[in-house]
Amino acid sequence: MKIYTGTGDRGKTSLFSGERVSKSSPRLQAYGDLDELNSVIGAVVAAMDEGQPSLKDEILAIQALLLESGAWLATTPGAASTRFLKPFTNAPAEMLEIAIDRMNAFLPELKHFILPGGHLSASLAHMARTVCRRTERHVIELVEHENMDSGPTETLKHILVFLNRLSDYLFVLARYCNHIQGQGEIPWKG
Amino acid sequence: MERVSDTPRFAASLVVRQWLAPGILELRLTRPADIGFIPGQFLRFAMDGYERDYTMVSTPDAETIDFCVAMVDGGRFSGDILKADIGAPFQLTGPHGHFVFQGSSNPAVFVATGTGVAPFVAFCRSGMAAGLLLHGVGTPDRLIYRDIFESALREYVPCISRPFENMDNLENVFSGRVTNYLEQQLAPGTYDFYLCGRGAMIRDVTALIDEQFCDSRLFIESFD
Repeated sequence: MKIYTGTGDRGKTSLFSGERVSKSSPRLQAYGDLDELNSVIGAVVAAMDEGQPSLKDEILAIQALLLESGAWLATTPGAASTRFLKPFTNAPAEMLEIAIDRMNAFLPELKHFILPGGHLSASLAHMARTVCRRTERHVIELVEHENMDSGPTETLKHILVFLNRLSDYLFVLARYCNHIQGQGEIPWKG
Repeated sequence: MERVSDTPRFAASLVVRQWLAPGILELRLTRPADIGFIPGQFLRFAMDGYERDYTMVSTPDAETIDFCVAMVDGGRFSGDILKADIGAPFQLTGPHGHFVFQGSSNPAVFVATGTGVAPFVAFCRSGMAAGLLLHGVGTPDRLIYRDIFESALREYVPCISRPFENMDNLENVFSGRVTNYLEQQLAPGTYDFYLCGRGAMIRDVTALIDEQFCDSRLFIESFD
């Protein structure tokens, strides 16, 4: 399969549901952010030391969920193409909550603001967190732009909850990465 | 593209191999009992050391799974398929792909070059073909599956790109490429375009659609 098709040379691309849309449209902004988020999360995994196989597997599963979210965002709600998409439920958000609680149990209680940084994997997790927040904002903007009369679809609601929970997960992951590396947190000194 | 886990494997054996046109074979394989697909999807032939993808021209409920294959001089699959005996086993994975009829209030325009008509044969045989088909070929002898298209489609326009004599008294034939037809003949409007063929055709037709039929939807299956 060729990587380049030449069909996007004039500033438009095709949605999975067939519509040709501008590459600056809110839908493209939203799933472009998802792509960026997934890439930064990949960098988090790459920066982690050996010896965390179950945590790495968990993050790879999250990356797969981000691809599934991206497929939904690239499809107009109600289009026939949705038959090919895996249902996106509330289960991923619930999985993240369990993971957050699991990591948090190892961490000291947070009594002050901390500066993003520390070990490289932690720094990248903080970066992923900020991209995740932006992604969430752009998905909300997409919902508002598309003027969905009855609000977002059930699937989009689940994706929004997932993204909201994922940014919390990435914050805790950043702290956890510093913890397992024996790297102290940097408090914000006013 | 899809998840790796979504690829069931099947075994099938060659039942029929026949020439549809110079350089184009039709293969019929036994239909694995547990295979299911949507017209327009393709299967992947897992050969010895390489893979090839072909769209079924048969319907999901047919007794065989059928493919049309353009022979390539020196091509591995072409050589292997010509050498295969009737009854020869093949390993297949799939179904793959999302190039299926979407159903819509927009009129459908199917655009194919060469053996890119394969998914549209499956559409026609499944009764989903209330559309216009433009079939681009170099010479009229490469117009495969004409009978099916003439009987099933709302409109069928062979587009012949090389100079030719209309020996077969083809009706509704257009002299030129599919892009020329779209540019010159298709009425302005909003359509669902389905393109299947080589990358160059898909790139050119997409540019034309963006220019002349900009609110249309576009579904693509590229050979390369």
